[in-house]
Amino acid sequence: MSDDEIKKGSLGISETSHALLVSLVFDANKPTQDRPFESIVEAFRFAFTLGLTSGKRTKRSGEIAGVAPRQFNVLDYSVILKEEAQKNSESLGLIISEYAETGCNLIENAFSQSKSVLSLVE
Amino acid sequence: MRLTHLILSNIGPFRGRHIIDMTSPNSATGYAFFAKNSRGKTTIYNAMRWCLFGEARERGKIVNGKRIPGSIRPIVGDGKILMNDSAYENDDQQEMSVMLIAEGKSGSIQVNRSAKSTTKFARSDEQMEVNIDVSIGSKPLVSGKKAQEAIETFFPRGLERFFFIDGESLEEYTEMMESNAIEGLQDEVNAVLGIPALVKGSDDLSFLRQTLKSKIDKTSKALKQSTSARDDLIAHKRVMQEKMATVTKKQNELTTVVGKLDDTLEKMNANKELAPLLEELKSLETQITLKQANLVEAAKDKVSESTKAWKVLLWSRASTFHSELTVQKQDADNCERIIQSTKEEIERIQQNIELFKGICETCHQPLPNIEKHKSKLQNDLKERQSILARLESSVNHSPDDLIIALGELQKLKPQPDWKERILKSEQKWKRMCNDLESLNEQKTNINSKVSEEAKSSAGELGELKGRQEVMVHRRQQELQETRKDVDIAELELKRLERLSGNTSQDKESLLLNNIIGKLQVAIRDTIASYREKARSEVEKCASEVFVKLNNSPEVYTGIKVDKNFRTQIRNSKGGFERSPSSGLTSMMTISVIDALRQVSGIDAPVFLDTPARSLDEEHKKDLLDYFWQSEGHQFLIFAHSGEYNVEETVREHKGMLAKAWTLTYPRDHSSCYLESCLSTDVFYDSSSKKYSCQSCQHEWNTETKETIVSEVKL
Repeated sequence: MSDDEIKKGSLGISETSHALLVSLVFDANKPTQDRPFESIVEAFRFAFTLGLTSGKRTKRSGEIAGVAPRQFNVLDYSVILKEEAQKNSESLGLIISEYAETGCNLIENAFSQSKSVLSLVE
Repeated sequence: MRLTHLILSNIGPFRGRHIIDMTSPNSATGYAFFAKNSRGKTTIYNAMRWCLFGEARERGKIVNGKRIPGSIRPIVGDGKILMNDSAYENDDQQEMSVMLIAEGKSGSIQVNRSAKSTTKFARSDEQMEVNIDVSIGSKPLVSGKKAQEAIETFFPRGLERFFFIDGESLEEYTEMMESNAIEGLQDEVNAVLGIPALVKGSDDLSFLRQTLKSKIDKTSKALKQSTSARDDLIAHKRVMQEKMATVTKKQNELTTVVGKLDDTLEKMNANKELAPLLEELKSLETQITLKQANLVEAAKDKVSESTKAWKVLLWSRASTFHSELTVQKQDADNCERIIQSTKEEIERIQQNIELFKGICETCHQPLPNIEKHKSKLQNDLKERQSILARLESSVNHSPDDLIIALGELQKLKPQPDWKERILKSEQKWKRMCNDLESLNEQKTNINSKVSEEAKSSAGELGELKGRQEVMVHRRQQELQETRKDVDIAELELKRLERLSGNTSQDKESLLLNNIIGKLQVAIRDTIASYREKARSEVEKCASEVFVKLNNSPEVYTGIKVDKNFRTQIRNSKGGFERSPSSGLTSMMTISVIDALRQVSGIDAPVFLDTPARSLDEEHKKDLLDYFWQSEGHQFLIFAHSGEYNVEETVREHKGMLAKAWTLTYPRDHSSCYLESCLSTDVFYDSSSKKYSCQSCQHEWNTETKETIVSEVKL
């Protein structure tokens, strides 16, 4: 199965996770708040990689909030996700979204433990 | 003025004291001194000049028609001197004196001039002390300069030459008139008229006026400057007043703001205990503001670093893939090489089979079992083909795919220090958050101690204080600037005051200048009119005298004096004598001189030294007849024995002569000359060259040059 045969799919996360990602976008008027990302896409990319690192995917529940596809090319990650996509015949978008959902949960967990977002890089 | 006594002491040939008494019982005015040369005629003449005027001059000269006065004869020294030689050489104290006693309109006049050596032997006049005393009538005795001024009142020095006339000067005048030179006579006329004094006075007035004019001009200039300065001063005073008002205004403004500042400080003082807290609060606020700014920067740094965070996370997973793919790539590469070599072996075996001819390739000998050998090659080929098939079936990914996949993965690989940088930026942000929190806590803590009202009040007061301090500073500067302006204006004011000063036009100077101007005009007019009047009078007097003196009055009727004071003898035909004789010319000269004397109006004796040296017998007599008849004026002649014979003169002019004297040396006498004796019984000792009177025993040395004054019995 070649890359052409892998479905791109679309990106989307639950509204809860989306709200979380919004709260992670930098605001110069709130410098004390942990808002380390320039945009929602950046926050989403971080959440995705965080989820991917954990190796767990989380099914999205409730309403799905989309993520702008033009700023997030799913094919950039096909080299990693191709096998998984081929194996389960899943689209890259789905896989990435579910990993991102997991990432959001991890961030939520970190916050609940008074940890910062970037401390999750360690 | 009439001379009564002349007292000579140690002057010329007059050794010791000689008193010449000129008092006369009659009203005659003629006086005569008869003597040979060097007996002292001119000495008496000079003694009187010295006594009156302080100097005796040698005879002057006429150069180019103008009289050049002779040099002054010194009292002592080398050459011809005034002092008696014996007194000068022999006396321990050199001393000389002349005293004149006269009767004038103001009473008795006494003039005494003496010269006394200030050293043991005076070698020049500088070593002689000359004193003069004059007494006139009942006036007190005066000395020195005042005495000289007193003499001028009755005998002006400028007219001396009309009263002290000697034969030589007469001849000079005559020559002057003959040569028609006008300047000399004009000088004389001017002198008689007092014109030199008037001209000098006019010159003095000119000088005075010039000085005055210069002063007036200077004053006018100063006045002009002063007026200008005064105008400036008035304007400047106005400016000054404005500036002073500005200073006052600025001062008031400063006082007001200082007062307000004091009020504020007082209020602030009331909340003094809160001041440290407020200060701390202020400091905290400043720190918080600063920290917040830094925190924003740190947050931005964190955002910047966090853009790489996903790669760091992703690589923890992707690195496994990368390793696996790398191994796969190596395996694929190895498999590819084996496949290739297997393919080459197969190809070689196939070629061997096709080309097999039963000859050993090594020894080139025919093989014993050709079929067996063929079968072995076929087996090898099969085995190799089986291996190739197995190898080719085991290849899942081509090396190119693996290279692309590895390339894709490489893009996801973070730099080695990214994680560290991300964590550092995170730590920094956290630290700053903590710091800011701590500061905010401190602020909250302090805020809890200070009421909002107090804080607000202190803040307002602080701001007010700041504003007021700025205002005070500004007002102080303005005041300082204004005061500087005032200082400069004051300096200018002082300068203008100095310039404007108290200068005022000197009215007296203006008046004086005006008067002097008028005086100058008057003097000029006076000189012109006076000269003409004098010329007319001189002409008239000279004509009268000339008619009396010349022996042909019917032919020579008078003297013409023209505007330039040139003289001519009128004749009876109404014309002028073209070539008069020398005697006639001398008479004309004497006439003119006497006319000038008369016109001068000075009442003084006339001294005529050797008067007749150029006159013939007839004119000599006429001369004495005329002068000795003059009304009231003493006329003294100092006659040489060759001019007038004593006995003859005395006889011919007996009624006219008041007194006469002879001046002799001892050697002139061969009989006793003492009036009380007059004996002819004398003895002459040739060895001692002395005569001795056998009657009175009087002795006289014929070598001695000491004048004997003997009065002639009339």
